[in-house]
Amino acid sequence: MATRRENQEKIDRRTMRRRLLARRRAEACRWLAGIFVLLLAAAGILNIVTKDREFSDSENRMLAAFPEFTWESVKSGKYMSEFESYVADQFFLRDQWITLKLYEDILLGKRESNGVYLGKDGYLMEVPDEPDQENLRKNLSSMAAFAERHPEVPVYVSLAPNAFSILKEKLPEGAPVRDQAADIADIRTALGDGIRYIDLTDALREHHEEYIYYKTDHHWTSLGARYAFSRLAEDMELGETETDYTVYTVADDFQGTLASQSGYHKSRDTVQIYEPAGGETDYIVLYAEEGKKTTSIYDSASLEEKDKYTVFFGGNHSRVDINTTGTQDRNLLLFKDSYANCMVQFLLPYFQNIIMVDPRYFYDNVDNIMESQGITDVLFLYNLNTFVCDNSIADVLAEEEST
Amino acid sequence: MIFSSVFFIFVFLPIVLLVYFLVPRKLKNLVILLFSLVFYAWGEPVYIVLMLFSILYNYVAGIEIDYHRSRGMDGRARFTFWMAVAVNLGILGFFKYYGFLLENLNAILPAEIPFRALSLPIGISFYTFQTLSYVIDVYLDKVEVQRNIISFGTYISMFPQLIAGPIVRYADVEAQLKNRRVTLARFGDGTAWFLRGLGKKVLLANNIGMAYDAIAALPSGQLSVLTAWIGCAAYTFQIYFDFSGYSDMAIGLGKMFGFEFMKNFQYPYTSASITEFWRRWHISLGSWFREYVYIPLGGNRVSTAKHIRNIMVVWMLTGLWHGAAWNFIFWGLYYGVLLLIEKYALKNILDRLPAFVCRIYTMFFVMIGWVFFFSPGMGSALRYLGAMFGIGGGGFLNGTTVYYFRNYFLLFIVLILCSGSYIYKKFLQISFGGKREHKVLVLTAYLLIFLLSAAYLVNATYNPFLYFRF
Amino acid sequence: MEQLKKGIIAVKYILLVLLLIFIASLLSSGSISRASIEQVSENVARSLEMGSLSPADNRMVKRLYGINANDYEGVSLYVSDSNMKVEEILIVRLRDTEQSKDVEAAVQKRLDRQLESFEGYGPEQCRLLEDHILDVQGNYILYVVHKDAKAADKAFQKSL
Repeated sequence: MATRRENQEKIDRRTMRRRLLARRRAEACRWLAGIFVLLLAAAGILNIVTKDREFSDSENRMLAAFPEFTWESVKSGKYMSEFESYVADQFFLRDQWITLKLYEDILLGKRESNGVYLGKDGYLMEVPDEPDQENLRKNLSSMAAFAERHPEVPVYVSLAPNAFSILKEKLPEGAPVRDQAADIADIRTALGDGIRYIDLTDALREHHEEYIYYKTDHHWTSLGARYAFSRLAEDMELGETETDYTVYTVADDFQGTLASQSGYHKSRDTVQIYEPAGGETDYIVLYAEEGKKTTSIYDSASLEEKDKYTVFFGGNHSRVDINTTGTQDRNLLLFKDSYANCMVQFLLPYFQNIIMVDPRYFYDNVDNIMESQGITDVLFLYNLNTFVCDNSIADVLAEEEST
Repeated sequence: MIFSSVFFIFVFLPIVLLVYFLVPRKLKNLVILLFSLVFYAWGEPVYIVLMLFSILYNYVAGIEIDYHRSRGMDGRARFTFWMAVAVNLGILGFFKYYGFLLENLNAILPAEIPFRALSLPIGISFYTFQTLSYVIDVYLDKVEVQRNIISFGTYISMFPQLIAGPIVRYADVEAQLKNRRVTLARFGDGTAWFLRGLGKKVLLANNIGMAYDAIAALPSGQLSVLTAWIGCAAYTFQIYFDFSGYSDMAIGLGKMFGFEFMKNFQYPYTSASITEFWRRWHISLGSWFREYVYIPLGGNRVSTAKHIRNIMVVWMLTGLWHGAAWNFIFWGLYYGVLLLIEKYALKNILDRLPAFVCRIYTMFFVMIGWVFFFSPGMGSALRYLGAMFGIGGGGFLNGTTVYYFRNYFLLFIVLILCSGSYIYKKFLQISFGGKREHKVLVLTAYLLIFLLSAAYLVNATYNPFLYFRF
Repeated sequence: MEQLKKGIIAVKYILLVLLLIFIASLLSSGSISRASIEQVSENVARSLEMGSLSPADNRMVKRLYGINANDYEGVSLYVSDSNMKVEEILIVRLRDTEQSKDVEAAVQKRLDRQLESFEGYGPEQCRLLEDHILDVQGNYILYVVHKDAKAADKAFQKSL
């Protein structure tokens, strides 16, 4: 009898306990329901109250605006996707949410954010792109053909290795990157003997403990360009070059493209410009497409902007002509990406004319320039990561069909 | 539209909830139907036509079958029924397998048949199975025919489970379509399910998914044995937390509107055999195939030869259901063979082995299975398997391995812990089981998940949803 | 009751017919075509009086439209030898249908510039420009300024 009662009591106790748990759970659920609904309502109100922004400084891009309603755009689904980006882009405290996300990632031990490595000492570095092999091959053969067409003019190619291969020590431990030395070797072979390749790897690597790449931007610093320049000067036989420069710091709160891309805004960079101490060269800068003339390669208005690297030439242009008052007898045609923008300040004193062409935006005949400007030197100056993904060089160098 | 987006959580859901709870009871199904159609049309508006067709056609077919059958005209009922099955499967087959079929035909035939690839209507694999379950059950007289078009439309298009399941059988929600109640506690329970699912999807699956994507994109020379295993493990976790997270969100949303859906996952990675794994993984799909294919074929109450045939048919179809490609078919057959081996050869051995050995054995074959699942084709699947077993030349371990290991070590620990039931049980025990309850702990945990997930959603540059493809 | 039954069966078959129409329309438009750009341009070129039109290179594409041909799966452009003629055919095969926005914008810009330059003294040219056809079909885009633009568009759609 006793055991039976004991059993019964045990069952009763269990039922009681189960009921207690269920009651407590239901109670907590009611609270959760209330809070969840309140939070949704609060978020809704905050989203409506928050003013729409046009541009996000921290992300460096235009934010989506409220989409225009048309039957066509609804039918194709465009309206819906635009509406979704609008809501996400104009979400209240968007920047703070993104920062929170980044901290969550770092807390989890991740050293990568949106295609950017979060390196040591505040260094951000691009995760290298896969080369566009097809276009790379086309570009290289068109460059070789171009050199062949102009046997009287030396054609130099110089590709700057990127921070992730020069500053290996700053990468997160073991982060996978491309072997740029191998890439350079392949490129040199493909270019052939008609082109003089100038390897910058050693010149930069030698100074890897100095400030030769920006921490928050994918460009090299003026100092990096300077070390590269001494190498260029040697190979291009520019003669006695300046060794003494006056350095001006024009910005010390620069946060570049990598900061925008990763959302990591902890580091700041310093932008410097170099002027030869031994007297400056006078020159006129002509922006062909914009039809603008200035007497400086520096654009001080850019220092008020987000992207302070654009202090050099105010960014990229399809063609820029620089005429110096000097009496040198050399004229340089420079095919370039943005890495070259801060190199030009070093090249200036050694050429009568420098014509900068950015093949991404340029579509005129370059053979004409060769002749009409009396070009004596051709230099392709790119950073390697951009170069292997470029798809515009071959088109620009293509021989004009005689019609 | 997917649940794990800012738009769904902060715009669509609040509006639906507001309207749903404001209108009188009679209109509630209509509200769900209309919003479900908007939800469906959101991604690819043209396919709304397909959805409307499915609703109307099966509605009419159901009534016709019932009409014939109730008058004893079995022949006509049978004809209508098979036609409905053919039409439903025909649509699924056309949109899902048309490109696959022509590709293979082109490979065999000397002449090239030009064709246009159509994009796959979202959720078609899921809702076709739901319409089929209705038509079959009406034909077999297992359920009443639905004469209310709005209720029927609500069943087919109900947005919580529209695009990624669980596959709800009509019989399971028949009563709820007519009559259901939402209490505050039930709504809160739904919220808890939803937030757990959201966390699984956004915090766990998406994050580990990045590891898988990065490793899958590595050139084969850089893929060391260990890196390949890390990649495979990453995918193993990604697919589980992605899919089960999405199912949990669906179940939670269902509860908020008073529906009870079947549980779709039951800690599958703790299984001690492949057979058990499939009782715990994508339960609604497994039970659908059992109910409507395996048992009608005779199940296991037939000769051994026929039983083997039945298993292989079911698993080939399961594979094909997941995608129109040879590697999915292979993946299905692979499980068919494993299950047969377990049933006829391994059963007694497994019973005697210690539990942890059985679990390792199960996970080993499950992970190998996922390689066939995630690879774009058979060739690359074999190459990846090669890398996992040292045929690939990436070495056993390299710098890349260390990098991914360091980057994801903590996450892997969390994932392993969350794959079992222990953590959740402990959480419930601490929160509610003690002398005093810890309501604040519960609420804080859920709100933290919400907050942390919301940050990811706002940042949603990376938010692919894997189960769309099926 | 008999009537109801007939009605139901009728509805069912009407629905099936509608479905077939829907699928047919899907197959004929808006989806991704696998035709090669060379084949499509050849068919289009054959459909109209080419006259002074001749193929132009990628640099010309950049000059006239400001788009980089290598960003796309394929671009073919036919322009007139004479500056006083506005006939032009542009066919673009997109890598991803999202790109259609950029191409449409580029075409619009080109069209506006052309209209501006001929406005006031080239009524015939303006007429042709205004009657241009810009047709986006999934991953293919056709822009044609020509008196036979309609024929070209037909040939374009047929060859996808």
